[in-house]
Amino acid sequence: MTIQELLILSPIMFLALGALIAILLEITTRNVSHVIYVSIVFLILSFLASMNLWNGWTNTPIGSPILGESFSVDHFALFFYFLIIPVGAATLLMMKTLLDKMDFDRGEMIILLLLSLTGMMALVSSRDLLAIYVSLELASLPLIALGAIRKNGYALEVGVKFLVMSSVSTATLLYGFIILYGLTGSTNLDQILYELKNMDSLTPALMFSIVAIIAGFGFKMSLVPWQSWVPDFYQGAPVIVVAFVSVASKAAAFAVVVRIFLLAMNHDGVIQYWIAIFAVISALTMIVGNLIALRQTSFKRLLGYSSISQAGYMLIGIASISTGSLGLVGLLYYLAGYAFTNLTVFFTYGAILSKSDNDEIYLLKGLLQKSPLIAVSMVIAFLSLIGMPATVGFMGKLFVFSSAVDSGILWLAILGGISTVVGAFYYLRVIKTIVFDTPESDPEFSIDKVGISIQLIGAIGILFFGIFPSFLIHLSKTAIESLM
Amino acid sequence: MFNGLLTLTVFLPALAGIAIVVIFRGKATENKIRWSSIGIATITFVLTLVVFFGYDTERGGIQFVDYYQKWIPIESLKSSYILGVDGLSAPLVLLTGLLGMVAAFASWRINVRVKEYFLWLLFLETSVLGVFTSLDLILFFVFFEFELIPMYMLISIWGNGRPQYSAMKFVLFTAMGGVFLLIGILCIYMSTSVTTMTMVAIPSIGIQQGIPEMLAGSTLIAPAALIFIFFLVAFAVKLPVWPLHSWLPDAHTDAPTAVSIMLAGVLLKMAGYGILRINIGFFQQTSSFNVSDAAPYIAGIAAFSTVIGAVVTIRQTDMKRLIAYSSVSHMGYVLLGVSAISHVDQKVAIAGLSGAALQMFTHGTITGLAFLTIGLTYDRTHTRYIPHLGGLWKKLPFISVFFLIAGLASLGLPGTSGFVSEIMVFIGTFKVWPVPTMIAAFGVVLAAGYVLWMIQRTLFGEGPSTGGLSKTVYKNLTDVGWKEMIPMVLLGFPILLVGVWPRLITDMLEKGIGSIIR
Repeated sequence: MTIQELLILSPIMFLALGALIAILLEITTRNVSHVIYVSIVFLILSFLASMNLWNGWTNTPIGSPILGESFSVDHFALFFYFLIIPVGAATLLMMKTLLDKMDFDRGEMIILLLLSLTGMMALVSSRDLLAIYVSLELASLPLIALGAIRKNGYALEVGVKFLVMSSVSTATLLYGFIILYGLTGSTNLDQILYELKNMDSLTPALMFSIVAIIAGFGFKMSLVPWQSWVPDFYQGAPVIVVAFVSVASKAAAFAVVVRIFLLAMNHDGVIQYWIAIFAVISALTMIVGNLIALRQTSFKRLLGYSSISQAGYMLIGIASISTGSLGLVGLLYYLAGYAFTNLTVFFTYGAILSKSDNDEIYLLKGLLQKSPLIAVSMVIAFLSLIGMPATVGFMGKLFVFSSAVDSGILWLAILGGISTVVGAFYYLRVIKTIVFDTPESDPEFSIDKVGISIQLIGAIGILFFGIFPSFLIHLSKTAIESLM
Repeated sequence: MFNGLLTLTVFLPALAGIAIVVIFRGKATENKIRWSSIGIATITFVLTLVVFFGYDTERGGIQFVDYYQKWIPIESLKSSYILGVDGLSAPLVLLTGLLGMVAAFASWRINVRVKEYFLWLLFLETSVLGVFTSLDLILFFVFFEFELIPMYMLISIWGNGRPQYSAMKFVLFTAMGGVFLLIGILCIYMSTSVTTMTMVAIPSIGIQQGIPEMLAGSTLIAPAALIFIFFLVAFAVKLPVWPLHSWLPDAHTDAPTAVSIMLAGVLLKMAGYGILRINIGFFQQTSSFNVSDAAPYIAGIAAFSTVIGAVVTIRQTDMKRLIAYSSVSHMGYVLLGVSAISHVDQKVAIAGLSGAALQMFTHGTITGLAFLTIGLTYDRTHTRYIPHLGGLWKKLPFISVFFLIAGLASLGLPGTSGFVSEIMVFIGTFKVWPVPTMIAAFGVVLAAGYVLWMIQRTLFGEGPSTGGLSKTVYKNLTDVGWKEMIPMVLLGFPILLVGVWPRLITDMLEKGIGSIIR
């Protein structure tokens, strides 16, 4: 391994190193705060290393495949580093508050989180089926443990459910990979594309392989019909874990799907086939997610179905790939905006209600009177989820819908628009509860400075990038161009 | 090119509203908040006056242009930040400034969550001003949709009756319309022949061709007729046109007075403006479809909407609801005027379309005044139920005079602005669509019926009938003070002024319409 390669891999290396040092520190000192601070330092180092690569401070050539052509840290991967690392940092900071509240004195959560982060970063930069598979396992196995970490009956149920469904989905994915390997004789994405181009038509085996790959990742991206774990996991797992999964895990899954389909499946015989599948799944996901969300009374389940429907909107970006990069740029912008939005919602919520397991929506009644700052951030985040102008949610929807119209799937754009209105109904109900209703009881909640700052950053980010989208769009465009 | 005046006018209310929220704290400052909000609304009104009188009608075209190119830096989105006014939008900007100020005055009696109330009211003003001034299609959509947030809050927190039901109904109807609008916009966006999102050509900043010119003769990504229908449905929800109107009576009735004024006065006009600017402006010469093809259907719907609206209005017993339904009828005239587009003689077509535009302006002032006087009456009597009222003339002379002015203008009495706009619409459309025009003219007769009947039952007579308003309440009614006088005069004045001197506005509107239909 050359120095250049080491530099290219430095973001991932820093995180892996951080995880190892965190384990040692946790065993020796048993001081959770120290472990968290040290981990944050490594996250910052990794972020700086990514910035170095993006801006070319050390003139490191990025983009070319390394390590036996199985990884490539290009701008596309770096975009997701920039997305995932801050989410991880925010989660770690909130974890400290949570651990204090729950009287945990063990640092497994931190280490699991760091390992999962490392896996995700490896995942978004892999360009080989084996590397993808290994990174995917590294990214998702810690999440199973994190989901069940509270060790009460409900959490265990969630953990087992998640474990079983995750294993099934990974097995399906592996089937897809194996068949693809059998057809093309290679696990490298570029090589696969080359071989596929030489094959004359869409064989049943290839069709099965594509469906299996979509199904496997559909689970991670929380698409219908693989969505059933989402509401349970959202309700049972600790809030911050859910926040992490809903943003980072989803972003990583979308990234790897884009990479696989854009690198390996991007030729004329196949492209129409998987575009059609994505369009139909996207429509299903938006409809089912929004309609079921209408009837939820549990706040976390509502957010679960909301996150399903949002995945449907994002998928429009992939489904409209046929006429250029606008849809993918929109997807990346949407994911970044969604990160701001969801972190604001979840961390606010976690700060308010993490003590009790009761998560009915009515507990938010009159939040505006009890705590204006928190309530305003929450309202801004929900407006962004609806897709109101002046928020990132609006711009994201605008981009994906326009790319859909552009590539001739007008019906999907119309369906997306209509389900936005359906979504507005239940999101507005939450806003109504926060703003209009008078508080019934007075559940005590305290929110610390870290929580408030993360929320404020989130809310300000929602508005700023919604009104001045140019910076984020520039990043997304550079990322997508490196892939095309 | 960046003139700055329009940017200032549009964003001043919202920014000042935020500043008010930040600066004033505590219960004791409520009066200060009221006064500073009124002050800001007044300054905005003055700015809109500057825009209106500063607009050079002789020169015509787009003026006061604010142009900043890199708003969304995606090439294929082609969007930029462009504000500007032409002869069509300048009067509507003035109307918004006027009603914004009136609404601020009319909000004096709000005493729940005062700070938030004025914040939302000022946000509302910004978004409406933005709709009328933005010349970029995406920017137009942003402002058009943003208005939902303040309206939802204003109706559901400070409304009465069933405010949350009405607010939700309003939002869902309008958001559904917004979806059609967005899809329509995206269809235009993605057509290969369109390389800009500017709604008109602005030679002064180097945009020689706007969307209308680019759509001329070109084939779109979807059938042009379909896109036209998308836009028409979007605006028909907002205008509103029967059968998409059912949100309007609820929202109007349950909203607080000031919000009813804004809703009927300017928000409905966003739809009329959209029809003129987009439906008429864009679809004149596309390869497969011409707006004239749609004119007979538009005329038919308009006539139907006018008469149905008027018939339903007669049956109303709540004063606010009555005026709300009469809006459905009156906005039918706007749509009717639009249908004159298919006449071969451009002068006639311009007369009809200018009539439609003038009808928007006059209806804004007339309905604003009607809602204002009804609100002032309600503050005193605590009922709007018509059979419970009577003899108000004796106790509330000033309110009654202005209510009478609004009523008579609403039925189109010569000498008021209502007459001018209706006659212009009828002159324009009669030659093209005689039958729908005759049907719609019947709406005027019905209007005379419901207006005069309401005035007779509420204002005149010996006093409230037995079982109605109690004697003591009636005896203790007091007329308006000077603070409430100001908005009434502000609205009554243009009704009479335009009634005797219509050229003040019609010249400008005809210039604007003339550049829209080429």
